[in-house]
Amino acid sequence: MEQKHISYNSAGDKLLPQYPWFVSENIGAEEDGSTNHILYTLHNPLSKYQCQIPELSGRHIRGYYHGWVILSSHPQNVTWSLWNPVTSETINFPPLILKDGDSESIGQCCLSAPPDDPNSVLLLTRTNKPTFVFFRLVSKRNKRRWTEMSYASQLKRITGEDDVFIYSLACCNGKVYALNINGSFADFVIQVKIVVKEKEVLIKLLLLGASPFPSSNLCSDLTSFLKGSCKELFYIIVGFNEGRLEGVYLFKLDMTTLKSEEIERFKDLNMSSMMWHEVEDLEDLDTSKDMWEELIDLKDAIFFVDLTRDHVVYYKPETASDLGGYIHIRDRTGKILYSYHVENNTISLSSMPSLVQTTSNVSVWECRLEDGHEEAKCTIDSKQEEEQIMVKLVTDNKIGFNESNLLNLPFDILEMIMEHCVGVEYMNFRATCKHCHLAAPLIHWGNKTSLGRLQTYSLLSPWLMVVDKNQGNITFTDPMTGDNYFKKNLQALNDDLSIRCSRFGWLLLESIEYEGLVFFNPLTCDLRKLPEVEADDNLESLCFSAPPTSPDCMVVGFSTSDDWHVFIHFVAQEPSWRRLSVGVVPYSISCPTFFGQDLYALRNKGELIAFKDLGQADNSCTLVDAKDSRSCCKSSGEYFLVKCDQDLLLINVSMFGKTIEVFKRNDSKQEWEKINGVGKHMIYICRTTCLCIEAKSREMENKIYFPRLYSKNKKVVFYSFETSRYHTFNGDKIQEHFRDFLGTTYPLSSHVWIEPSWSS
Amino acid sequence: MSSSSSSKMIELRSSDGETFHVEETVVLQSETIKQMIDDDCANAAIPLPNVTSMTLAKVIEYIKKHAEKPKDDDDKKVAEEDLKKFDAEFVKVDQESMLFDLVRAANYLNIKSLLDLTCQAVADSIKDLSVEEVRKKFNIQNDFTPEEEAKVRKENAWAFD
Repeated sequence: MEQKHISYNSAGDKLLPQYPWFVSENIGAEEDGSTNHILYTLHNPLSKYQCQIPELSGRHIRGYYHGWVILSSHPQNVTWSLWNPVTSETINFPPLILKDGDSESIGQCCLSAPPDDPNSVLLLTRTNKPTFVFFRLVSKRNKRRWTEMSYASQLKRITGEDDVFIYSLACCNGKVYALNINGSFADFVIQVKIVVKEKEVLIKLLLLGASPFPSSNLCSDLTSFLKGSCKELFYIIVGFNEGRLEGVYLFKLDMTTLKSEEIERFKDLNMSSMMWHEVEDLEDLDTSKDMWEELIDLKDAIFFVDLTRDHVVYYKPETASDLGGYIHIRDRTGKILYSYHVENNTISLSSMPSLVQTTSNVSVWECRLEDGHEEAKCTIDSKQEEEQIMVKLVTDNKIGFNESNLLNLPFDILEMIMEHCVGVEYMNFRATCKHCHLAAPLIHWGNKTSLGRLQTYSLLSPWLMVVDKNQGNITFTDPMTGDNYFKKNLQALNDDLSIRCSRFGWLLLESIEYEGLVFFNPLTCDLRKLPEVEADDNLESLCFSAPPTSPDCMVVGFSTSDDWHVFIHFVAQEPSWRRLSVGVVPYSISCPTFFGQDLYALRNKGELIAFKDLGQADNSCTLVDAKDSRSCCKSSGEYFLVKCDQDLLLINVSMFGKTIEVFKRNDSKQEWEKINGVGKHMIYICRTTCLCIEAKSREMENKIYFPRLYSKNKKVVFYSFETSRYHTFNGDKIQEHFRDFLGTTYPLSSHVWIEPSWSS
Repeated sequence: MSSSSSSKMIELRSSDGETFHVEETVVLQSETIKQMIDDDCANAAIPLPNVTSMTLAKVIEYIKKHAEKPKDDDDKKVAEEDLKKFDAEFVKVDQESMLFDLVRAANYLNIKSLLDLTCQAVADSIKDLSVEEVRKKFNIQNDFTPEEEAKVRKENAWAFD
């Protein structure tokens, strides 16, 4: 075995261990065509180190196991080596020459044990063949070579299917695990048992169990990953919907707590002659999922999942606490980074630092680093202190010395004035100074006695409501001030609910707890059950025309399972639903929007349809017009429909919000006409509810509000027709402008715009 | 100033020495003055050392309007509407200090409806304002320590719970 000692690059000394460092290569960046390596952190992409690491030159980092980096030549994967960045040792392998010559099809790799362990094997998978390629590191015999073996029949014993492949290798607690892809029944977690004997290496596949699955998932395009640490195995699912990342799920399996019967539950399994679909008793398989724990907090750890190439996952158990808790996901194009915060269940979008070429190879610098980085640490800390001092100076300047008319009032009068304030104003008043705080005791506005005072209370803007199931809280965010309000332990929101519509301060929820649809006002906790819907499937889209307290409240839903039906319920009338047949092929329906007695909706993502005179006595409804509105839009993307005064508006938001187009319906011409503003109106969009309201304050108007926050200041993002840019509010000023959603954070939890109302 | 002369006139003297003559029936809306009359202290001009002439003129305008009695039921509805409009206009004062002077005067003279009206007007003036904006509006110095302020904000954040 050849071992080389090369001086370790000095850049390594500057890498602070508490930050997650990424390394990327800039192939051919230098004039002589050699490759540069750039080490950088996400918290400050500008502080980067550019260097040449000879060991990495022309090679990809393929993985990191037991303190060793696995490298392969790019793109042919012929030359493989191990490199230990701490000791600077390298171990080179003989060239990998496959029988079919297709070494580019090498998928993932794994080093089963440290290189000096007699059982150590470098294991590779292929993406187009059910074979392992492996190399035994320690061998007394001189003949050291790569070996390829098929696992097709072994995998069939587990999955019952052909053409299934092993992927996502992970090393944990001294063992190797993997997943299968292409299976039609389920994803399995498989132990890859490597037995090194004197003369040969035996590889056996053993089913550990079915992969865990999230309790609720709405994503269609799911990819799973396995990652091991010392004692724990992690399972990550990344879910996309039409190109948008809308689900990330993380599970953990603590290997040290596993009992031998759990490990060997499927020891004698043989599915060679039958399919899982045919198995009646799946209890064992279901029980095996329960070994996994769904994680709702990552603490100080981070993951990095790279979707650009061989789906490699990196893990760093400890980072600086403010940087921990994330799963960073680099998208397939290599340009976008989705940072999923596990505890908050939010995704922050950002572009990969521009210094990194989209084609280049990015890895997390997983390697442990030595101590002695005090110098660099000091630089960062002192910079932060400077910023804090700056902020303090600004606040000091704001202090005025004029007398306050309000504070000069006798205390009992001040108390009396406070009593005339309600809701947010009362709270703001008592937050101004100690004197006002004393005059205004804390009021819980959710109490029955206090609720009466809010009967006619209204706010400038709807709030963004986000349901945090992990914490059992709901958060309301005021888009104008950025203030947050919380409520907890709302029984109606505790179980697996889905918010189907939000209007007039009321949510229309589908709740397992209440076995169907309920109206719920989260601010007064008023809850009203709806009659059971006798549909074959859940209603796809729902809306209502007035608050459920009103005699005019009509609820409309669509069922598109087999036949297309419209379901109508009049809250003040009979406790049942009317079912009307539409008599055409069903399509998915979105954005149902009342327009007087008519109901408009988008069909098949973008076509406008209308139901005339819905709910009239003759129990029929007419479907009119099914015109494709997509032809007028420049880009594909998400469509939203909203009623704006006497007009119907179609809003198209392209991927990452790069373009926003708004069209007004011209009924006589049956056309959509592009418009460049909505005047005094403000539009609030999200998946289940679009609102258009006349603005009460000038700065709020002519804007579209999105259910996302600007990552830097945590304020609600809006699009201004005036500037054709995105901004946030800062006090009464408008600040930050940006061209797309990069730099914003969006919730994956249920969320909706709500017009808070306390009237009963 | 008054068209009716059947009622007894009461003389009020403001802090800056100006005197006002108001019918007794009108001035009785002030509990404070009513008490003085009952105690027989209203033979000479009643001194109001806490109320300036400018404020007192406004207060008298208010109590006069509120002393008008509708003739019949039809008139009553119209009068109620009229009074609402008057109240709304009445609190639209040019200077914020005037509103606070009216609050003090209403408190001192103990005119409950005027006190409610003016307190509500102060409350309404901060509708939709942020904490910073309220501080700016009323010249309030933030004397919380950062920890105290964080605590109050946290209290407020959970106040709808």
